[in-house]
Amino acid sequence: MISRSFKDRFLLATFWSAGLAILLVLTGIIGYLLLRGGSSLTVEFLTTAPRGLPLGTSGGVLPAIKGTLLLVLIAVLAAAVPGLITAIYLSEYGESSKFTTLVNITIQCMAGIPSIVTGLFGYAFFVVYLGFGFSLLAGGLSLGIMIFPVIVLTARDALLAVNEQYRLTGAALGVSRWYMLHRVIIPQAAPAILSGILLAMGYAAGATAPIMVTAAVISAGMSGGLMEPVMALPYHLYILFSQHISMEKAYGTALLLVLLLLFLNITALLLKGRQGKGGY
Amino acid sequence: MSIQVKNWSVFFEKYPVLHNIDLEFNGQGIFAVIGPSGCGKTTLLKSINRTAELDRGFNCSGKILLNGEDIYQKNDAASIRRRVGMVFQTPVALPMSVRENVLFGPRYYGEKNKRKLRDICERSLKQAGLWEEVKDKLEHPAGELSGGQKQRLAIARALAVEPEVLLLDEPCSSLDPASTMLIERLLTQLSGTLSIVLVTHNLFQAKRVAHQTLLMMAGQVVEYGPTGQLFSKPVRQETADFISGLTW
Repeated sequence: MISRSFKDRFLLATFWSAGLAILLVLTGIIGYLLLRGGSSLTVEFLTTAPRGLPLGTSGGVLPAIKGTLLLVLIAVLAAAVPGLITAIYLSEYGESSKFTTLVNITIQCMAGIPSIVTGLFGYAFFVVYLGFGFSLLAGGLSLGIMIFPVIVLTARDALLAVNEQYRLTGAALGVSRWYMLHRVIIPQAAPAILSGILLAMGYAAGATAPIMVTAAVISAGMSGGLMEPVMALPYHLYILFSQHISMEKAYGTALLLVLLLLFLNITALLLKGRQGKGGY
Repeated sequence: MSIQVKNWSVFFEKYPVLHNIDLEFNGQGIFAVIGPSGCGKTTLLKSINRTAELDRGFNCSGKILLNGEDIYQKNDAASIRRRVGMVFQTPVALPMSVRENVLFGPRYYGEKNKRKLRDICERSLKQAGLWEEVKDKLEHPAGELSGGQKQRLAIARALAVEPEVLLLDEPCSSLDPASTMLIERLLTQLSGTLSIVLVTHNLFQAKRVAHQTLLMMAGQVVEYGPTGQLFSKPVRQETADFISGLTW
């Protein structure tokens, strides 16, 4: 009896310290960023364009914020609808045919493609072949390809998590699958689907590789034109520290990016907690 | 409504679940199906509203006739399911209000008239013996109801599309004795206007409510006939053993 309770306590302590370690790593990163970059995170930093020589030694990151938001927006617009349709197919209509298995494997593999490879594809296909050039559109679509599998997999699991009995009840009333989907299944899964989309947005906002070869430049205006190159937070950060332009501004940018991702992820978590409640 | 099952066999993948079932159930009343776990009771029930085919690897041969019409002849399973309502073992409240649960079917079938919808809701809930308990909370989430109430709600939802047959798959197995009593009384009332097929684990339940009882074992019909006769003067030895509790 004593040894069993000792084992229990030992295991509990192990799991607890694993959790604590994760927490420490995260707070460590954020704390360090706050310490090094907190002072540069001013209103001016958020509302002006980079200045100085070399560019970025003074001024702010407004065009990069705008660029990142636009890139993420295009990525989500491009990936969300096809992602949802694929997820619905896989969860509701796919049954377990060989084709479904193939689609599932393809999507798992897609999720594992290194982001720089997605970038290379985006460069070859959007920038060169389709002639979009180095542009917001090419970057956004490349990010869209990157987040597509994330959206499919989270939405598929959200749909599969809806009580199977609802589907049986609908079928037994002779109600069509589509009616069941839009009146019951999708509303039930909606919080978790949205949560997956937000996570995917965070993933896109932080990705550097796909945009550095398709869209992002050191300096761009604020035009926001689809065919214009853009600045983006992660790429700006990369330039600031890799070229030793300004470590202070680099930490400020990093802090801003992490706060943005934290905001997206926390919102996603809160939404996911509402799955299945849907007001009922 | 007459239900005739002729030489009916069901396989899932290659595994046989029902073998050459032949039976006939005429008119109103309650038809109970009893038998040990895994003997194919639920598959037989789900064959009658064509929901068995939703499970993977379903294959069948033979015929099931409702009022003489072969229900597997047409490709339209939905119209059969509308005519043959079904209530499951676990009470299911759809994630919406009590009213919307009842009106789920009628709305799907295109009923838009508000007065008619209100009447359908009230009539179905009254038929299911739930009206008095929920009439002041029709807008409340159905998830708030108790297990027994949810099961009666499921019956009301099935009745709202005016089926000719009602199938129930162990509807009381997760309910307390009081709720069970209520549902049994309700089924007896409904059997005046509706054919009811009731799968039950509970031999006493079959004895209490069923007009006819069918005993199945290993996917085959052992015996069926008027309930009183099956329980008091079974023809087959297996039946006698089963009802005296030797083989389950």
